[in-house]
Amino acid sequence: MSVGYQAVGWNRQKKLYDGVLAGGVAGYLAVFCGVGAWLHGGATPETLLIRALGSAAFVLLHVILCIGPLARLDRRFLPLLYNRRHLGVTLGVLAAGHAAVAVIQFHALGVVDPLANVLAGEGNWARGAGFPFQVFGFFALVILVLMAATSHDFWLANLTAPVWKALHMLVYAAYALLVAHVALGAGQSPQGGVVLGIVAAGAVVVVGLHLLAAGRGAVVDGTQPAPAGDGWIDAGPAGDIPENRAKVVVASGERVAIFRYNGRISAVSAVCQHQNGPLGEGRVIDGCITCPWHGYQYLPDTGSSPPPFTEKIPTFRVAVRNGRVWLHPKPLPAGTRVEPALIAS
Amino acid sequence: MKPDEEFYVGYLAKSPAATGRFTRRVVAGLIAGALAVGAGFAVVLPFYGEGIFEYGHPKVYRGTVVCAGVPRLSAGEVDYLLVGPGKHGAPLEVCAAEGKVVAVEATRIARDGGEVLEVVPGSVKADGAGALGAGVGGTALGEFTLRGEIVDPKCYFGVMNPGEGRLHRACAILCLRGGITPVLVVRDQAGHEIHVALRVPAGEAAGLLARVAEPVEVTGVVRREGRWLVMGTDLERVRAVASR
Repeated sequence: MSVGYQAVGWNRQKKLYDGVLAGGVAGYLAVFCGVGAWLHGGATPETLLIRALGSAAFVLLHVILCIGPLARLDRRFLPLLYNRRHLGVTLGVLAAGHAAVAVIQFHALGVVDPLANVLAGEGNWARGAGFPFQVFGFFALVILVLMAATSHDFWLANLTAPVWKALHMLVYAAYALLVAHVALGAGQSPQGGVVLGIVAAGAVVVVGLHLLAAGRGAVVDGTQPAPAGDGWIDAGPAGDIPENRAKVVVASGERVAIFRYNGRISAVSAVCQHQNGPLGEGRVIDGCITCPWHGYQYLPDTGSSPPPFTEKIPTFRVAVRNGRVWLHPKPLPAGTRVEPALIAS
Repeated sequence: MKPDEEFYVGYLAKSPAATGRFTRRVVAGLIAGALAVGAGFAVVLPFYGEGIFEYGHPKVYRGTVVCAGVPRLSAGEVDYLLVGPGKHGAPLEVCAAEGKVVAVEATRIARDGGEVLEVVPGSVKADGAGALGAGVGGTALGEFTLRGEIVDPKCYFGVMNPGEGRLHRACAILCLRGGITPVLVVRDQAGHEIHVALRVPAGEAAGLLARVAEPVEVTGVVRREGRWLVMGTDLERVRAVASR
């Protein structure tokens, strides 16, 4: 299998998204630098830039982390999630800019290598709040740049979805590192109490939204119908499934999306091959199951993306008996065609 | 169709009306919130110094080189502490001209009466004979215990703004490693400052770095050398304290 680069398709939505993002970031930097220079005449441009870039990156990371759970809690947030990787790349650029100016300002032109000074310049490794905060920022930057560099679908296809997803889950490690970076850095300055308060408020929002979204997922995972004697699972009345939408059940420990469309029932894995998106929250559009995150599509009966696309997900055998949907919990190999079950009129 | 029944994927040309309205409101709220947070951060992170750094505008200064206490250029009414480019102490050529009147090209750094010159390497030139200025020699003022923060004077007096505190600590340590004279900044309750250059035995300079940019109490004999106060101390008499 070969993987090639494909040019990014720029549609109206993406142009709007990126335009608003660029405007928002530019506005943030302008407001921070403007207010800073106005209130503090002695502020040097380098100091303003370091703080503006760093705080902008930190704020943007909160937005990025909140979009996922918000979209799970309320699907109207999904348009923000569609190009979330653009936010990630912007975050990487802001963080790299912050680091570059900070390294030049604080760690260059001395008798010690700048990188060595970042990592070990302070040397107080056992002094609690005096622990060198730069170390946390350095490792967070490595993660953020790695994520930004692998954000293109080329890397998703090359690394495979599970590896890519695992790599990008490191954003939570980066967040923890940046909380430590800010708390042990700006949080220890004379006005640090306010900074720590802002950081804590941000953490409450991020963690709270994730817990709420996880709670909703747990409700689904808790719905695990017991198999009957023949091994099939009673997934409930077919009439309970809205047209062109799915009901999600858990079978053999995996989420399965049972779709109803055109008087038929088909069941596929509820995990999109693209970014592990929640297929069960998708719709059948133009005859294809469509992932709500990025619109990846699969034929309901085969679990295969329509040509020329090649993504495939596991399918499940289904039957409709006396108006109820029955599902066999053993997944079939990805792309295996299963005859849809017909719903008696 | 109710908003939550709309289904929109970003590659579609136009979002449904309700989804579009919701997205516009959320984005406007996000941007307004981010701008407010940005302004808030700019307010709560003041901590800027008030120093001057005449970057890009070096001038020629005349005076007598004195290196007995700390490297300085004594020039009558003004007594400049001398440092080098980047995070380095005064170039070796400066103290090679000890006791001589020189003309030196340098960039001025100043704050609260403290005057520092960043010497341009290779610019020190003999400029007459005899001492110029009141700074040659010194007067012992007695032993004192002072509480304050050890900084590098180059950043503190104007290059960094702020050149003090937690965020600047790694930079201050690097500057002192490079040979810049450590200075103890002492503030009274009204915020008035005195600046005391510190002199420790040669073998203890590295140990002093562990006490940079944190509240300390330093005991030693203070001398007035020119217009600078210089305290001779050692590591045992530099103690961390809980707060200023």
